[in-house]
Amino acid sequence: MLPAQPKTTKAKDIEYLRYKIRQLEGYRGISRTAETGLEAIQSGVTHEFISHSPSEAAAATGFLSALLTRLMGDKGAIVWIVKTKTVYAPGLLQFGLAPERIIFAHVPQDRDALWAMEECLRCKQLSAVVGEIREANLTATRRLQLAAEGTGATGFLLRHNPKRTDNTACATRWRVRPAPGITDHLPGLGAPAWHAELLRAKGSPPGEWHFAWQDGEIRTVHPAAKLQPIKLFAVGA
Amino acid sequence: MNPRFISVWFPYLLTDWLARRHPELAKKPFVICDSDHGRIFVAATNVHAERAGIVRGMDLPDARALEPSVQKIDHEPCRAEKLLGAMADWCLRYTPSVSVDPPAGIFLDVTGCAHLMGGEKKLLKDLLLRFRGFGYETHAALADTPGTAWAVARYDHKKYIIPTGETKQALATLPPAALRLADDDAHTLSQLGITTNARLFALPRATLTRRFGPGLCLRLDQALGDCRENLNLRRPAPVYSERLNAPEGILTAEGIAIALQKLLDALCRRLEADRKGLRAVEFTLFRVDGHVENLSIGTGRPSRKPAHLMRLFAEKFDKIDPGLGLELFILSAPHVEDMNPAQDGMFESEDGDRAALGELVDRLAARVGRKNIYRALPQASHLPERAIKLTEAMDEKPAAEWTRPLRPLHLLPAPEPIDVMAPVPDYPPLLFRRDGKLHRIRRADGPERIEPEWWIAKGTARDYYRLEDEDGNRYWIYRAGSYQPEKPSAWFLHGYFA
Repeated sequence: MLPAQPKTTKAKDIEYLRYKIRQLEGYRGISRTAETGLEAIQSGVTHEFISHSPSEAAAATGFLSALLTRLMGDKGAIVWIVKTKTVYAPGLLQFGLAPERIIFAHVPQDRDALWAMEECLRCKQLSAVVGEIREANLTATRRLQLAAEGTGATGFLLRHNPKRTDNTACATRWRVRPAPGITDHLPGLGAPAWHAELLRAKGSPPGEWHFAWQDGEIRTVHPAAKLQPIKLFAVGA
Repeated sequence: MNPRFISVWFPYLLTDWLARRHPELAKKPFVICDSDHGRIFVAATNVHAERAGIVRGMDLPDARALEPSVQKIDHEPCRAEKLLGAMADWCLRYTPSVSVDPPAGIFLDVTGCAHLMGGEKKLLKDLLLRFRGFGYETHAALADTPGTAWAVARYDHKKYIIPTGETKQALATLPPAALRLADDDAHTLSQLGITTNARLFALPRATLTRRFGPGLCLRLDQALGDCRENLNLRRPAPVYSERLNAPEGILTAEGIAIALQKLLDALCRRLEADRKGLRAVEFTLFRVDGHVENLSIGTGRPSRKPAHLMRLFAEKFDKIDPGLGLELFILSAPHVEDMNPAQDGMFESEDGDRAALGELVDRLAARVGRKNIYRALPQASHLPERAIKLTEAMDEKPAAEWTRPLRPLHLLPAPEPIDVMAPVPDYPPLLFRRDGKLHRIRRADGPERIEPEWWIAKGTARDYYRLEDEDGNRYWIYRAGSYQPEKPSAWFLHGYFA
């Protein structure tokens, strides 16, 4: 887990101190050789997901649901703060989340949602808190980060169409786009796949990966092959 | 304990209220007028108008003939009821059992309450002085029965407090109308020469019932205390209630917080002793100027933790307007449930977890509203809109199993109409247009037909398709109704898959 050896002593010291600070903040960082990028998603900190279209929002939600299953298993309660009541509970079953574990809170205003999220992150009994919050600045996210550090809960911000994407105190920032499903040459839609971009992460370089939800777990995959148009059964063919 | 009641009477309720709001009216004769089939008559008068000889029920021109300078003000329906309701709420400072006595009175059940104000005399004096201070002409009396208090307040201007056991003597000198009789009955009795109750008491009951029906004897019994009169209370008297007087008048949020903390501690101690937990708390603050503020909170599970309840109230403190100062605080728990003492041993952690989660939900609900905190449980239905049931209960277990057909992660609140090109019946669409943007479909699954629930509502069957366009976006769309060659089908976008 230690960062790679820097060249000079001074740079080495600074790098080491930064590493110690991240540790104090509850974030362990990832190794430079991380293959999947999923290592960046750790518990006890906050992560943000940015989306710019309804499809991207759904993809980010799906990716997040898969991560929740990976991080929490089937234990613990989750609070999901929604801006509009669009998240459809039966859709979560596909990603291994039991909807009855989730307490939804419908909070349309960002100000109230940030307050609610902080309040939830301070609660030791929750394993994760998801907040659909559009605008969150450095101060607001630092408050969330401090709350998460105190209890070890994990916070996820789903930011749809944010006006400002300047620096925040979240450990990682992702942008998830839907990618063609993994079909293994079978007809139909196949397994859901995403093109995930790690835009920013504390102590690790950004990266891009392809993930898919297959057989109840999240996997790194190679981008699906160029798609062929739908083949219609031609009459007499 | 001997029951004791106060009857309060405001002879000029509406006109005093107007004079309070418009001080320029206070010195002039004015009347409140109502109309009935085009006839305008006097519904209420003030003192000056009454002195000029104007009485209720008189036509407005007659009133003008008596006093040309009389000012006419239009009647506001229900104003008296609203006013009395607010006054009755204000009277909760004296007793929790208050009832409105239309058209212009209030009953207070002060059984066992007088000592809080330092005795019956002081209580009645305080009440009269305060109401008169607000500018209302007020008469009040305290007696063993509501009927007697009513009679003495209205017909005996010398007595205020009728001691226990002297009910009959107090009533004897008053006219029969003081017994709250119907106008006709009172008129008939006076024509018969029965001008005082002493004479009425001497008459045999059987004769009275035969002549006047059962109503008169009932009023007689109610006034004498032979038959208990049930008051229609403003709000049910809570068993768990605490009060705190602040003679100095509290203005600051810190002061209110200290008062609330004291009351919560006292209330929770009582609940703990009785093994109860509260589900709702009402905090009533009485302002010096007679205004009453009310804060209420609810909890999802029974609770008796002052710290938790304090945090729920803290969200609402900024809504309080202390005005010139707050002089009285009452904290009551209208909804109380049984609660076992904290479990120790092996179940502690699980129970503690649930309690902590419950407290979190309470805090969220106090800020965003309880109906906005919900869980989704399965419901036996194939229609996607009806396949989930939103519940506010945190302990509710699913009544059905989750069915596991693939469902989108985002469902639109209402399906959006789209333009679709589909080649052959029952084949998935080739492309669709939404908001002017063209989406070419590369992969598709379906159709999945969902029939409407005819026993609930009419509708057509829907054929759902799962589609993926060339960018990998995944949609859930449906065609309403089955394919008909002669007319184009209606297509809708209903959700997004992850």
